[in-house]
Amino acid sequence: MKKLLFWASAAVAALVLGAGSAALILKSNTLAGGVRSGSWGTNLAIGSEEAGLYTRAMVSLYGLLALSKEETVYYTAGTDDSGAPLSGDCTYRLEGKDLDARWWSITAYGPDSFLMDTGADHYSVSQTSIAKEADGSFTVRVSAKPQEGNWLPVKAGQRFDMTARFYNPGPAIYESPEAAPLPAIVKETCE
Amino acid sequence: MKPWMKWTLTVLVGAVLVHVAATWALPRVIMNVAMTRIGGEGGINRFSHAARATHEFKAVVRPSPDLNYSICVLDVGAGPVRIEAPVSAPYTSVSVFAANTDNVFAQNDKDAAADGTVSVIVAREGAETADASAADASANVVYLPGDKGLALVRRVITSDAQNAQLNALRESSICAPLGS
Repeated sequence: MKKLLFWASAAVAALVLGAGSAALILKSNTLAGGVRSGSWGTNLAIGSEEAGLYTRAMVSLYGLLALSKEETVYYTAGTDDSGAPLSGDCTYRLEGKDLDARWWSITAYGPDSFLMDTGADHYSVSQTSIAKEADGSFTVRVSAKPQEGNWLPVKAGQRFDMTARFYNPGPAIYESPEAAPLPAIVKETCE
Repeated sequence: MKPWMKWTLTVLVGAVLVHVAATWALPRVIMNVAMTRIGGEGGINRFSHAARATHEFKAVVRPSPDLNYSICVLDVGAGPVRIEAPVSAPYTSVSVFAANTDNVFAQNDKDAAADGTVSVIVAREGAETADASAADASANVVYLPGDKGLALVRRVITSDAQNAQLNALRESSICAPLGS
């Protein structure tokens, strides 16, 4: 009986400790880990056959069927430029220029990594849809409330993050991914 | 060794094993669930064409709302599978994923054949594909480490007016056992 108790308690403790530590690590890390450029982060091992144990697990949770860096590079931002988590109760200003890619888009996702029901008819801004100034720069307002000009809708009352997709990135992205020009994320107002 | 030391050591070794096993298994389980879900709707070794992603789409995390997706769940256990996908501007890619989520192949519209099509023959590692390659020299040959995998075609949607064109490209796309 004593022996059974020994092994049963050890098995339960190992299971809880092993599975719990794995869940904690995967929950505290996202695809934004690795290289950072401003508020945006990327992991260039995404999708590759060289990806490690944790990268594969995180891809399955946060970016299943993501392409490898040779085809597409993904940057994700979960905070604004002051480091505060992005909230649907605030309005943000994205300021930038065309991303260095053959085609690009920036999409907002809810905490479950799916598109949010915002009531608007779009979920992203892209190279195709964005309105730019004569010098090629753009401003996008990220808000739960409809905005004049470029508007990326989010949902009030919940956190969100944004993914910038670089399809066929320029060589500079591979040479210096930490210097990739990505839009600044400036908080304007909060409810 | 004292009993409490033996217990602690057993727990630590067991925890490391559980931690590694759970982290290793997670992508395979999630990919298998996704393939079962998609395969259940569209079948195996044939394309299914997803509607444009909205907040109601929950099959795969972080879908792009700007892309028109065609998905083929692959089973190459009985022989190679042929994929042919015509491309469109401004961006199209054809990619193949192994059952552990690795992106083992991708080709985009820039590198499509002269007829504007990306052709791929997907086979199990070690399978004989010499005849298949000889039959179509322009096709890329991709090997999967196991029987199962997934092919995904991404086509950028520039406007709703493009729907008819994209639907026509989807209809002429092929994912089928080689020689069928």
